[in-house]
Amino acid sequence: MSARAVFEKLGVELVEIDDWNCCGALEAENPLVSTALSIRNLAIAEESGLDLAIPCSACYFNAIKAVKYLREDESVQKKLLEADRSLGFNDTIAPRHLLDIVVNEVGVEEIAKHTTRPLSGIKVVPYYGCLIGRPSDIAFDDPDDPKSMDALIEALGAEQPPFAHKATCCGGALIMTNFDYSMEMSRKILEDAKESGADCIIVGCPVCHLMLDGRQSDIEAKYNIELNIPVLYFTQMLGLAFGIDPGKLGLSKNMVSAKNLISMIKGA
Amino acid sequence: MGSTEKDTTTLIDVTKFDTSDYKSARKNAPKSPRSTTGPIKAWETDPNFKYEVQRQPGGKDLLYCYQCSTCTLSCPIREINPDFNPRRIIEMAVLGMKEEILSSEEIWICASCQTCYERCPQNVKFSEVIGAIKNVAMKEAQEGNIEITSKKPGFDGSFMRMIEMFGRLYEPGLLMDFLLLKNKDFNGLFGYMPLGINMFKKGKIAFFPSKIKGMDCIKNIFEKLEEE
Repeated sequence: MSARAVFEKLGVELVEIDDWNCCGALEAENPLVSTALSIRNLAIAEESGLDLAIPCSACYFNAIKAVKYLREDESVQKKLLEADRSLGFNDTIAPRHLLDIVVNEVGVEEIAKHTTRPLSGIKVVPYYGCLIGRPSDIAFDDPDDPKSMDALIEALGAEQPPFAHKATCCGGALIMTNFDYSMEMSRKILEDAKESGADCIIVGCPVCHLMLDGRQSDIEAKYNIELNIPVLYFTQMLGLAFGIDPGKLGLSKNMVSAKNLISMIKGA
Repeated sequence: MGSTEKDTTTLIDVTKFDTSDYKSARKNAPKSPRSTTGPIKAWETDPNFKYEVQRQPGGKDLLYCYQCSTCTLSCPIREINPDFNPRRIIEMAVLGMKEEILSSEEIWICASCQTCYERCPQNVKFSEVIGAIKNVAMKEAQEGNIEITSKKPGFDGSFMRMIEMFGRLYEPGLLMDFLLLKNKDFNGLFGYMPLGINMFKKGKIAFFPSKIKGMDCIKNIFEKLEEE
């Protein structure tokens, strides 16, 4: 929701691909199936000649892996086509993470220009998760110290306190099978963010968002701590700084309420 | 937990998720493949196992490993559970300890964070190698040669069944299939109710599934590629 609203403001047209399918996330154990699912989406996008903007890190990871797999092994494309005629991909378009497009295509100057409500005095920490920077041979940002959201935070006029856990794993892949690990991993991130004095966390991946926002109250219950830190998908934050009505940014869908944050921003 | 602004999530007893056992069990942990089962019996190992792993997509660089432990020391799962040891998994694979690896719980707790892939000085791409090992495990389990006790392949299977049926993930179906049908976990399912209801109310998930138009393609993907 927020991505659409923000891109509309930026004057960039987003064309939703028709009839997209699930990429298989981190659950697709068979690499051929995983590749095929991503290639189906890429093939549909390829017909339009436009690059594929992907808002989810896991989907992005699957897409770039699929392209790499196709490039390295010719027999893979053959096998896909044998399974179904529509699974042909000619490598003429690129899968791009939405954050990559915002920072590297649209650019931070544009973001700063559209900021009608600079977030001065608001402390924001960026949480990248694993797949925006890793593996570095196919992902778009730095594997250990990614900076794309850092640049956005600066462009929006917000403060960024030091945050060591910006690219440590949240455990999202184990959310239903080994939730104990995921909780421990996400707790480290949330506690660090809280201790740094951040008013909110921004993320680039819906799975990380589910762990840090959706399951925040479970983590609070388990470790008997109080966090109460809103977690926003990065375009929700952009939208607030652009002065877009919070209703259009889907903020009421976040599990941890962002009401305080919104009033802070309105007052800033 | 003073805030009134927080939406309730689950009714799951979160205190039962306790990771402190992992660290205290360290005293009894095996230090090398040899210490679990005594000396390795060469005639019980499978020298072809490493080649089988290599043949899977992602497994081809396994033999470049020179056992430096960089992957292991950068692993976030290992920080929580010191028994998870990527270096040892490769060691066991190279030694041919096929059954031990394939039936272990260990290989299923990787979170795919790619840190090992990133840090390896030899470009072994352990995150892909473990994926290759998991593929072999599932094939062997399907053929009835080994038994997998971890719940992860079951979860992955439920997830994939939803995609096979609808082309997109139908979350309630996933919970029904995984928790109820596979594990008879009524408590777990009940525990997810508040989160589920909240997500319906916020329009984040659908009550009923809907199939995508391109189901023929999806059908072909699963029928023809899943057997490989």
